[in-house]
Amino acid sequence: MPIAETDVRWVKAPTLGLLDRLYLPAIAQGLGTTIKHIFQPRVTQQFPEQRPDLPANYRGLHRLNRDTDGRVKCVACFMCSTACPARCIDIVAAPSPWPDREKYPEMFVIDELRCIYCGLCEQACPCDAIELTSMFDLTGLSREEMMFDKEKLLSVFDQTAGIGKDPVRTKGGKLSCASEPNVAGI
Amino acid sequence: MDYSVIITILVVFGILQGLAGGLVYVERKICAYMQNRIGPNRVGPVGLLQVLADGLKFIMKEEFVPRYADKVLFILAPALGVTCAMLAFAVVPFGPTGDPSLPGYKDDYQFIIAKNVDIGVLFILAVGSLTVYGIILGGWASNSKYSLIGGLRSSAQIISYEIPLGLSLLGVILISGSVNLETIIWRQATTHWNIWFQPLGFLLFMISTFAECNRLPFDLPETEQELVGGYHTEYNAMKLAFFFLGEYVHMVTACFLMVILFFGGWHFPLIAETDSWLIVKLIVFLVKMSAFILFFMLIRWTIPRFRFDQLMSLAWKVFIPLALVNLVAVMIVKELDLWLWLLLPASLAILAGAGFITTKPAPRKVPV
Repeated sequence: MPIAETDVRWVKAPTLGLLDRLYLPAIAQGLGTTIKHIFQPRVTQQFPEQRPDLPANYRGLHRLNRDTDGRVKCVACFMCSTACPARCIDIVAAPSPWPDREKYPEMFVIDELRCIYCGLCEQACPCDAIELTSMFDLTGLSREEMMFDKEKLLSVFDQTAGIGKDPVRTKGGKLSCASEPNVAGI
Repeated sequence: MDYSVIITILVVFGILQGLAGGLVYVERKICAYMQNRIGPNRVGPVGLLQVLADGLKFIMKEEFVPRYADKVLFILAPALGVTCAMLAFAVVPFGPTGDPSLPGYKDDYQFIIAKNVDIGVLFILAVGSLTVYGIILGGWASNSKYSLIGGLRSSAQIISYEIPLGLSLLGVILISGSVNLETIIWRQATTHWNIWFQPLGFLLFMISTFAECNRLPFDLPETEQELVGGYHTEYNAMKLAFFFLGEYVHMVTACFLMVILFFGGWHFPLIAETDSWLIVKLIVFLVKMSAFILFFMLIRWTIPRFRFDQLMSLAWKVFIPLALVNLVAVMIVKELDLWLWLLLPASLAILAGAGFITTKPAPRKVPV
């Protein structure tokens, strides 16, 4: 169906006047803009010295949280590695040495090079044991170095939990909502 | 044997080469400021040693010549470019000069390498336009499509803009009655600056200078977006640095020329008169020149690049007729011995007239 004549709006290009044709006022206006910008505040961030102010929900390096006794919170339920779209979480479970839970991770390795930092592991975790921090500038000299094991992930917790940027999201004392269903309201 | 000339040559060329490096730094800083950035600030205090770091990098790099390039011309091109740019500086006064008509003029020290050259402006135009040979040779010798197109564009551009460049100067030369740069300065210092009589000539000269120096908005020989690097696509290390050196020396010369021809050289009313101290005159001169360099850099980040056909039509359809009409106006005033100040309204009238002519709507083209 052709477009109706009433729907067509004809736009004419604006005609240039004398001052427009001389182009000099326009150039002066452009110079005014550039000069104005010289005196405006700078937006550059001096990166290594000046750290960016990241939002609280920033998805950076993972950490394994500790409970109030300093033990790893994780109960080796495999929810995170199941949810992981990149298949970068490798867990080996073992019977827990502590009486308040059945299992604990004997080995917990995240391949930080494979991880896509989607945060699904954090959402999947029933006991808030794995969280993404605001650390983003991790480097390594080899692939093996970028396989973060349990000790390394716990040390990330030790580094980030105190600085206030990445607060631990569950209250201390309780193991998790998984072990105490009444608390979480499920 | 006059040793002061040799010392002047050494000092001037030393400073010019350092200045080219310094200008790169200034350009990067100004560019950054205009984009609300900070610019180079890592090497040395506020990044001042960036110049040294860049220079060191240029020297330390491997001198690479593409296998299919014409080796002789490939190496000759940047050398030719920088030599011609430096050579043009020989007759440019870079500081206070005296009255060239006095008999003792040549015996006193003057801030110029070749004193009292009677073909000053002609020499600069002739040698200055030779720098394009460096560009064309570089583009040709690289044996690369991008370089060749860059060199071709450059040759077409320089040939076109040589004409308005020379024509716009003729008015000044007629008013001054000389092509000797020192005489032109002295005449302005004792009467009035040429800008009052030749505002249109100045405008044309300045814009043509942008094209001559391959500066944005006319940097078509090295358009990064379409030609990678233009004529210096295949160049690296010190040879590339020589191209830049030539370009910046050319720019400095052009800025000096604009100050000398239109803004009275070292003269400034009440501050730097003919009997002022040398140092005051020198500072006034250099401040004026720096102001023009800053203006060059401001323009660079203000106006987008012209298309090639726009560039050509600007030169041939606008600048050459305007410069000719301007020249005729000066000739009439000089021939009839009219009041020189008539040229100020005349220039503005010519400019406005040109605007009026183009404001008339063009006949609508009907597609067949």
